[in-house]
Amino acid sequence: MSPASIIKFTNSPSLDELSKAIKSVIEDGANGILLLTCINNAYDAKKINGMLVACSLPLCGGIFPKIIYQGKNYTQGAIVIGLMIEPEIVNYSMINKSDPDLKHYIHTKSEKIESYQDFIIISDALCSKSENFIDHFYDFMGSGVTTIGGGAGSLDDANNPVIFTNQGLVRGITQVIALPCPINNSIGHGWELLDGPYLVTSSEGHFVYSLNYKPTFDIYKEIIQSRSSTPLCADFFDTFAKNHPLGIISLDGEILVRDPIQTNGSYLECVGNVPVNSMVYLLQSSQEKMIDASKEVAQNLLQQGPLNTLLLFDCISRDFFMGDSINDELEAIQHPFPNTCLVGAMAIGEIANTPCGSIRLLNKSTVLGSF
Amino acid sequence: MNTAMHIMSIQHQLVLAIGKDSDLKKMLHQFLRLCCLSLNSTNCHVFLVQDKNKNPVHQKSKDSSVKLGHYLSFPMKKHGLLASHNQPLANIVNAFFTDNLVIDVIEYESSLYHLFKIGDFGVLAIERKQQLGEAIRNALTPVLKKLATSSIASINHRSLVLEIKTRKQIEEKISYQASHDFLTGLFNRMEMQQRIAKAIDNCAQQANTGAILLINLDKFKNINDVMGYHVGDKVLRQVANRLRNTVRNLATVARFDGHEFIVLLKGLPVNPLEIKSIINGVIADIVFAIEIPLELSEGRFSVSCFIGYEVFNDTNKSVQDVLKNASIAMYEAFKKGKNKALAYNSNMSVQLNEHITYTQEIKQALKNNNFELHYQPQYDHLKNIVGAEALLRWNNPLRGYESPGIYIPIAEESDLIIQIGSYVLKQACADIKKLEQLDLPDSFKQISINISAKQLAKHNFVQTIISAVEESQISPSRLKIEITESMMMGDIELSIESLEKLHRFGVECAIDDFGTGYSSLAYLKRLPATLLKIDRYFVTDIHKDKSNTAIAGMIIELAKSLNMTVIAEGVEKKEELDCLVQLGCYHYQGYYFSHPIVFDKLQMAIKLKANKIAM
Repeated sequence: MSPASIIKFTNSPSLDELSKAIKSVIEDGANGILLLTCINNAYDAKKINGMLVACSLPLCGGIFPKIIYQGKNYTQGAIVIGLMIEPEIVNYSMINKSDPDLKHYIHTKSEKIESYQDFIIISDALCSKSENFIDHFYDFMGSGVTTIGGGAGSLDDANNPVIFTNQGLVRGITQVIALPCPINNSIGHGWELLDGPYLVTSSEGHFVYSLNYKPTFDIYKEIIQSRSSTPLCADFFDTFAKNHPLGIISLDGEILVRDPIQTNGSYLECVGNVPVNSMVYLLQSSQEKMIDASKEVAQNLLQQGPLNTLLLFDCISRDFFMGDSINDELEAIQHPFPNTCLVGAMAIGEIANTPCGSIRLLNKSTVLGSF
Repeated sequence: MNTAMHIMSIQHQLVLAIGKDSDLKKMLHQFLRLCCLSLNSTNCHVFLVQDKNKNPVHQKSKDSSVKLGHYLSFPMKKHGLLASHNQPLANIVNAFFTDNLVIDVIEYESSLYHLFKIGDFGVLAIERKQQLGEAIRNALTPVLKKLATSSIASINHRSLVLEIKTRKQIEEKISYQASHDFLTGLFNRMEMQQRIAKAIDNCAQQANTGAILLINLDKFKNINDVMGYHVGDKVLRQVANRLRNTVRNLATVARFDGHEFIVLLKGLPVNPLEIKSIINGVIADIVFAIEIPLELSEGRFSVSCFIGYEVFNDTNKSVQDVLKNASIAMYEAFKKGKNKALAYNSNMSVQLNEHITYTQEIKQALKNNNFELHYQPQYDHLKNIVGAEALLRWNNPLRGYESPGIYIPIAEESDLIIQIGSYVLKQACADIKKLEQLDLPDSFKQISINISAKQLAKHNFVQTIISAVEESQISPSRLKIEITESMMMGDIELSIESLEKLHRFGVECAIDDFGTGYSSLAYLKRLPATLLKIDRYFVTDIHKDKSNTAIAGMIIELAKSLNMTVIAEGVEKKEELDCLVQLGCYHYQGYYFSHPIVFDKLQMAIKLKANKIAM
């Protein structure tokens, strides 16, 4: 078991506060730094880059819509996690390569983390090739590895750099932080089947063009309409999509949630790939079910053994769904660990290995890890 | 959940991945990845029958003990261990394959391996934590059939691609060999000729100028002769590399022939001054690059070169014209000395044509017996004729007697010198035979003939002399051969061996023009020569020139110490003779005594001397 991490929190958007916190964990003997900060901090690019480049320790992390500290979420501020174990950080910048080139790139780039089995992955959520990278990374590292992580970035689609590196703040990359200690993880979401199955008859990556040979949007609207007593308004999608994601069910009954984020009136674009010929369902949930699922996630992790650092990647869309009740979920997760500070981020897409072992990009889910 | 639809969906997803790519590995990778995702498996593997090069084969093996080899997995590892190194897994798969089952489920170390036959040449292993239901296992049967068919197609496709690739490689190799020099990797002559032809056409179309530089390595033959061809080849390769690097991007280089290289410059300006400036720059770079000593494991070698070049800017000149002109210019540069470069001009052709015509005339003269031997008697201090030197004269029907200084160097450039030498030898032997029939005075020793370097270097040189002597039935001691110092330096050991053989046979040897060459005195001692001839350069005005007196004196002393006779050439004055006598030289040849005379006159002179002695 690794020694406890040194955690410094500030709810200030000030770069000086961040700088102080970093200096503090360095003085306390940290061997690496994991930063989780809020997009609303709007750090000055030049100043933050100067600070990151000057940092003498291996540095990693991301800028997220919100951060989580001790069972509460914050829209501004920063968490500095001083890692007492030295992380090995690899920044994969060329993830848009074609499959054969990407495979070769990962082989070459991953040499120094090849023997590791436990990883935190932080990706730029706006990079559409992240999921393909995750597939290839899993192919290379193999089953049996443990992974937690999430997508950093801004929901307003601004193309800003969001990943912290020793070379500065960068965009469009996936960062793999290999830890020389075991990570335990637990995942859950609380979503249930509402309607389906529907055959994905046409799709490409994130875009689902047709279900049962009909435009996806039409089918989606039909299902929602059939369950509503009043006629749907023109902008029904914005209201209902956060409540009714799509789900792909595995042979063993696990639901992989795919969050529809936008439409052109014909297709739906999801956070994550939806393969053609797969079966999808319309999902539903409630605040209670989601909180119950989160409690289960925490209990599950608790049973896996002792822990020093609790790191949570909770989907930002759960925040949208739950509103103010999101803090209930966070408190529910913190509750079984009274002596351990829960830290984390509200992510745009979560990353974890599923029970069968494969590393997947998840939506509307809770990924809790400890190390 | 609609299980039937779910299973169908999985079937379709998997089938869709099959045959997506004609490359077997890519296709199987895609298939295994989807297997993992849709069947919730931890790892999926394919094992195939493979040939000795690890290439998959689909033919049913007659050998029942054939083993499947690991071909591909998704993901590649489990707990950090590569699936290809997982021997227990290979054993499980091979046991299943040997048992000739179609589907099986085997538990091993908390994993369940679902094994499916791929045709009769492979196995798909799906690793899961929970067992796949019977329905899904059965649903995979048609998928596996399709996988087998597609795999066979891919394997066949790969074989075909390999065959095409191999054929293409062979074609490329043949094409490369046809256009490149095997030793240096430069273009060869044939390719260069084609490129010159194109360059000539382009010049005409684009109104610019081109040029070719023909480069010959000076005295390269010496490296081959002394160090062997393997060293010569290394030198050629290094020179080729230097040329390539020197003219990189500016020009094309080829090995033209032996130690000749050719450089093609294209797209030069039209202005002659600009052209000259560019070419001179290239030549300077080439000469500089070649002159840098070559460092080989066999030692350090220095080579130099001479260059001839020709410029072209229209289609009036053919490839052969351009090459011929550059070659003529190169020959002229050679005559000027090392590291010389000359541009072709039409006067060179005129001179060359004259040269060729002259060579033809020499040939004709040999046929028509226009050559004669004249003899310059050699005397001792008592004015006895001790011998005579045979001197070749060409009585040209049109121009009268030609100077040997003109036709001998030309004959030496070709094998004509051998034919002339043969004539001289036979004629001299015939004349000696006639002399032997006279009552020769004891003082008369022999007739000497001059031998050329080419004659001496010929493998049958000794036998040719012996045969001539024997066929003429003369005493070998009546014939003396004269060679120069520098001639022997080509291959001194061979020269010594040849001269020793002749010495044993009875034919003596004289060293001609002594003092002007670069003889090593150590070698001189080993030569079986009996006579040293002091060059006329040291004899002329010897009585006035102290340094000549000193040199001649040294040569005379040297001859004495080596027990050799010494004879002074070119004695024309009484004062010179007196001086030579004083220095201890008692044999002479020169106008003071006699000009070269025809054989009849020689006979008469000898007879006259003999009669005087008898009286």
